[in-house]
Amino acid sequence: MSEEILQFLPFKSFVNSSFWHKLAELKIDVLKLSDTPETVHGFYSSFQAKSHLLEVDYSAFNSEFTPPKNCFPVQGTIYNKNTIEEFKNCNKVDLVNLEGQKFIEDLKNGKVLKDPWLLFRFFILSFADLKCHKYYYWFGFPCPMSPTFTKNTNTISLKECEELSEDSVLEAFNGIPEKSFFVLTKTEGHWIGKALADYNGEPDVYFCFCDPVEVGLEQPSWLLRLYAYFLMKTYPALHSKSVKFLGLRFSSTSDISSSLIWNLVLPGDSKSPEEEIKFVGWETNQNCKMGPRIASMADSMDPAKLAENSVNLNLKLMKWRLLPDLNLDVIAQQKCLLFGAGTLGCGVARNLLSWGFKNITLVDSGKVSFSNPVRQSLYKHEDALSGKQMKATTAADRLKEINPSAVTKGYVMQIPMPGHAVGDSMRETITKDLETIEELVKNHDVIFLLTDSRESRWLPTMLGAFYKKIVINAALGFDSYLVMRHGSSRKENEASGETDYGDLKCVNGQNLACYFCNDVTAPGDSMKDRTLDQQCTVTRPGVSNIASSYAVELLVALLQHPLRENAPAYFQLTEKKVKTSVPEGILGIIPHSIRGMLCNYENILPAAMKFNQCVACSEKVLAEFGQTHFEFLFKAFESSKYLEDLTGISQYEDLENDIIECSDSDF
Amino acid sequence: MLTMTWEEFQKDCGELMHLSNEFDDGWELVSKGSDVGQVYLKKTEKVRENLEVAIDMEECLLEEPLDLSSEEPVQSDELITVEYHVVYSISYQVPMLFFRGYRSNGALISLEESWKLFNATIKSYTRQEMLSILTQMDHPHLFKPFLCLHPCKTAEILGQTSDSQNKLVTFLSVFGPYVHLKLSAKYGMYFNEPEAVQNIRRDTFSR
Repeated sequence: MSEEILQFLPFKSFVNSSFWHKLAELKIDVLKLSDTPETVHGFYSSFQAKSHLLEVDYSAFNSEFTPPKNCFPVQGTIYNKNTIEEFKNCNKVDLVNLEGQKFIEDLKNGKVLKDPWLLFRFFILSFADLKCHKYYYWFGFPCPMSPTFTKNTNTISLKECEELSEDSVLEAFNGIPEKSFFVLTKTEGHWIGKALADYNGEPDVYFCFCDPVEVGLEQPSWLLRLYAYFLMKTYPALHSKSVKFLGLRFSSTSDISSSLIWNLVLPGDSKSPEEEIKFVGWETNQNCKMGPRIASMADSMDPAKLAENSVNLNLKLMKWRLLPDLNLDVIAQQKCLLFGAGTLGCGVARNLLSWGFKNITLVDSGKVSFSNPVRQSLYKHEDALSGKQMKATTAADRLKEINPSAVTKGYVMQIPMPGHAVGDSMRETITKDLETIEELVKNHDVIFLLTDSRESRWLPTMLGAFYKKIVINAALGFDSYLVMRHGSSRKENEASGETDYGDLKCVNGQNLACYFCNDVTAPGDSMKDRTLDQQCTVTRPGVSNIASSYAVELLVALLQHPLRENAPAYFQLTEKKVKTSVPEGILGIIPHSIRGMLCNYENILPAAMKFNQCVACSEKVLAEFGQTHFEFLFKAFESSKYLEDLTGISQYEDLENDIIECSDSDF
Repeated sequence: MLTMTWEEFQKDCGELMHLSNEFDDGWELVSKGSDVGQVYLKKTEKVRENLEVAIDMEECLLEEPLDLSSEEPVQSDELITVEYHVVYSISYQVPMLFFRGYRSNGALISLEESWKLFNATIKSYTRQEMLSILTQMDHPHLFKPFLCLHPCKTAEILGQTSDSQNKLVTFLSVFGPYVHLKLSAKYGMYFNEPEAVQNIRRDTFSR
């Protein structure tokens, strides 16, 4: 075992998050563009040490540094560069040598002898990318590369040492002020502690130090290497002599039995004073390679990221706890386009945020008015005061205020409607709006119809069907609501119409109706003959909250289904109780529509078949749009009769229009 | 059922702090004001985590590992810092344990990954029960998300321990081990019968 070269455990840096917080604060408020080296402080502990760590925290930049309890201070320097290039291009060999020279200086001028804690020093080369909350850093613990030290006899623990008792060492330790490095000498049969400065070269002493190494490891920390070098330089009388080192390792404040004793032969100082000393000490990174580390602190320093993680985690808990199959990614990826930013639009947008939807676009032509804020949850009285705040843009901004990681946009725009003729003067503007609306529909995955009139839903219904989007529709009566998903136009396989499913009828998602399928007339000008109170949507306030919640929940349930919008819906023909229950997805059943009344607090869940002469989603209409595009649209805007003729529903003209043009509350 | 008044919590905190100082155990008392609930205990521990085990357990539970591709997983022998906070829950009148972990570079361990780390330590029959109370909440004084043990079952579980002289010590002894927080047996020894002391001392010293 003798004559073996002693290996030392290099220090590992351990940066507490508060260190980066403090550095960011200093960089912004004090240092600014200065990159002069700054003094920092770190600490280590040999008390229940977990690893050979050098730690830094917020107190590192204090001018008066007090280490935490049971820890010893270490002086260091931080070289914080202003750019990543400066960080990369900094000459690493020069830097460790420069820092090493400081150690040599302190040895020569006697500072270390006076304050032995200066034996150990560290430095940090860093670059703080404050915008991205990223910190590039590299710690160094400079130490002369040579000489190496050889063990004279086997390493023993303090327990095995015959001449030293744990109690006498503890007594000495507790009695001396400088505890990190000291000497144990025998005076009149007693072991007493002595400061290094008071050591007079007497033989048979123990050079003690607090060794920040986990109990059980046989190697000493880097400190012993520095200690031995110091002794070699300071006490030539010890050259070629056997020297004993006691590394104190505390299992508790009163238990040092695991401390180790190393017996080394101190080599002679072979170097002439002029010879250049080479230093080592750059820390290895996580992968045990020589290189810098990166701390990505956005998770704890960037408020937007904090909010995002927090929101996501809430949803993830739902997944981990209750619904392991819940697909949250699909939700986060969907882009939602909301037509209407009123009570329904605000409600739907907020519910979307709650579920972790990120992309929300709103289209509305209105301004925030005084009556709006109490019902429309994204607006404030202040928005109405100026008389200039547009709903679409205000709502988009509010959503971002609520969740900074949301991607929102508002478009102030009228939705052109059938039966609302476009004058020549308006044709150019409307064409531009149509282009925008078409582009928006193309670029989103889900379309919500949340406007306050029937005819404004026609264009987005038709475009949604044409571009094969998921379309969710919500409409309100005074105390009733309708929430539905439009039948899908995405052909997945040859789908039959309605099929039997036990006692139930099953309608494939491709065969489900849209909002207009049940009408035998094209949407006309439903606003024309309305009284003032009919023009504003007069509803019981709870109705829109219920409907907007159902609309979003229906979408989420649909997104979780493997067939998405092609998921079938079920209905029963009779009133009587049937044995077959509706098949459920992970969030339960996925109805085609939900019609509810507040007056009796009841919902019914009808499913209806697609109407092949529908003015909005039928093949004929979609084909015509495909062929003549805006020309078709302008014809439809010109007169609702056009759509009726196109689809052939004019043949139902015997029916009274008044009855057909009923409000949304009918069912 | 075993609940605590705010006064009891403060008294127990005081006793625990006294012992911690005596044992050099590193607990700190943090005061955010003079209102009810505004004083809490804090401790920082270094924990060496073996994540591989955690992943296996996760697979057993969910049958699909959580996606970690966006971040570098904690090395199996990596040392992490865990910050523990013992806060008084006014609504439930019991102590609550909040915690979160940091890596050696100072970066926060995502709550998702923390969830896994602590998940793995929750063993066998109590596992489901512990999972049901391991959750995420905003720290009542720091307003940041922490993992925590939800207080809904604390009073019930504490009620199963026989009469305790210091409910806070009992609480930490019962719940701490599930989240790597091992309260030294010396605390229990202080409050326990003398014959138990011998065993505990032996345990403590062989640690």
